[in-house]
Amino acid sequence: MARRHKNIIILFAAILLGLTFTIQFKTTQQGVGIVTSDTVPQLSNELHNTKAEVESLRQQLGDLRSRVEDYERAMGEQGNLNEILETQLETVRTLAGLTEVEGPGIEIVLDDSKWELTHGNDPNLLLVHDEDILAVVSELKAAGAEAIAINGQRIMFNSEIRCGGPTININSVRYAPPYTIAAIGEPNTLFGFMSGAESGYLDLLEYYGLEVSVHQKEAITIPAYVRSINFRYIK
Amino acid sequence: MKTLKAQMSIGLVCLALGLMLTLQFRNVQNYGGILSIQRAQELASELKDIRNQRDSLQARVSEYEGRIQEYEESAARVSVVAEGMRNDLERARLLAGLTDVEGTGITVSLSEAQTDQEFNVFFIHYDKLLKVLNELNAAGAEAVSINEQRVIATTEIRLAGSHININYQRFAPPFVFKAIGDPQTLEAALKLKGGIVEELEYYGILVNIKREQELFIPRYSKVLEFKYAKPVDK
Repeated sequence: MARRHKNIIILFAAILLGLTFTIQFKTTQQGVGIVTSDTVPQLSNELHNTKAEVESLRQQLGDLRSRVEDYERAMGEQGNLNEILETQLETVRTLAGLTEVEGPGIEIVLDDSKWELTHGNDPNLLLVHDEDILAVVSELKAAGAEAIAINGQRIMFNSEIRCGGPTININSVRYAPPYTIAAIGEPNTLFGFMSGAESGYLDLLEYYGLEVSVHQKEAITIPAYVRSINFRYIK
Repeated sequence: MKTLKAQMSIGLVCLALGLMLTLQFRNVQNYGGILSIQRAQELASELKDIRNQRDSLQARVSEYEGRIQEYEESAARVSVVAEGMRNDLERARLLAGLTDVEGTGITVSLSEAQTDQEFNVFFIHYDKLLKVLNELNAAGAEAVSINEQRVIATTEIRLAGSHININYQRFAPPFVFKAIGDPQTLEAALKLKGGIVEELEYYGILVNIKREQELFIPRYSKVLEFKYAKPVDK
C-alpha cells in the first residue's frame, strides 16, 4: 500500500515536470530575442504615434486638395494667383511667429520671493530660474498655446531661455524679474494646465515662496519676432 | 537499498521540478510570459497595417505637394511679384519648420546606463531634454529634432504617464537629438565645465555626441494651424 502511494506521488511529479518542460520550451521558443519587457510598451507607443501620423496625413491631404483646387481655378488669371500666394504667405508667416497676433489666453507673472532671507537659507531658492520658465513654457505648449511671449519677447522655435547672472536671456536679450509670460490659446485649457491637477508646477513655485499670478484674458496681443534669423549651416 | 534508490530518484525529480518552476516563474516575471507575447504579436500586426496605410497616404500627400510646387514655380516664372512672394514663402516655411533641412551639425543620444532595468521615467526626466534643447538653441542651432520630431515654436516636451510627449507623439529612451549648426560650437556648449553633459552623466545617463557633416532633419509632420491666434491687421 505504501509502495503504491509512493508511485502515485512520483507519477504526479513526473506529469508536473513534463508540463513545466513543455511550457518553458514553448515560451522560450517564441520569446527568445524578440519579446522583452520593453517590447509591448514600445510597440504600443509606436502604434499610437503611427495612428496619429495617419490622422494628420488625412488632414494634410484635405488641406492640400483644396489648395490645388484654388490654384487650378486661378490658373490663367494672374491676379488671382498672386492673391493665393499672398494669403498663403500671410498664413505661414503667422505660423512662423513673424506677425503680431491677437487672441484669448492667459497671462502668468513670476517674481522672486518676497520672503526674508534668513541666515543659512539658500538665496537660490527665492529666485525665478531659467528652468522654471522653461518648464512653464513647455507646459503652456502642451496645453495647446499657439503663441507665447515673455516680457514681450516672442518665443520662436529656437528661442533660448537662459540664466545670465541675476537676469535671464531670451532671444539674446536680457530681462529681469518680474517675468510676464503671455500665451494665446484656449483659455480654460491653458488655465487648467497651469493651476489644476494636470500640472502643479506653478503650485510648486508658489510653495517655494515665489510670487505667482495667473489670469485668464479675453484678448492678448503678442508681438512678432523682430530680430533676423540668418541660416548659415542649413544648406 | 531499494528504498534509498527510490528516495534518491524522487529527490532528483523534485530538484528538477523546482528548477523548472523557478525558471518559468522568472521568465514570466521578466518578460511578461505568453500573454505578453501574444499582445506583442497583435500589436506588431496592427502596426504593420497602419504603416501601410500611412505610406499610401504619404505618397498621395507628396503628389499633391508636387503639384502645388509646380503651380508656384510657374507663377513665379511669369511674374516678378509672384517670384518675390514665393521666395518669402519658402523662407517663412523654413522658419516655421515646414521644410526638410540638411546641413552640418551634431547628434546627441541620451540613453540609460543599464538596459535591463524597466523604463524609469525619473531616469531621463523631461526637464533634462528641455535643458539639452535650450543649450543647443543658445549655441545657435538652426534646426533641431528629437527622435525625428522637428522642434518648432509650439513643440512641447512633457511627461505623460510612462512616456514623454513630443509634438503629442509618445517616446521612451533612448532620445536622439539632431541639431544643425556649427558642430564645434554646439558640442563645446554641451560639454562646458559644469554644463549639461556633466549634469546628465551625474544622473547616470549615457551621453554620446557625434559631429556630422551631413545631417538630415525632417519637417514638422502634422497639420499646423492656429485657431485662436489671429494676425493683427495693420
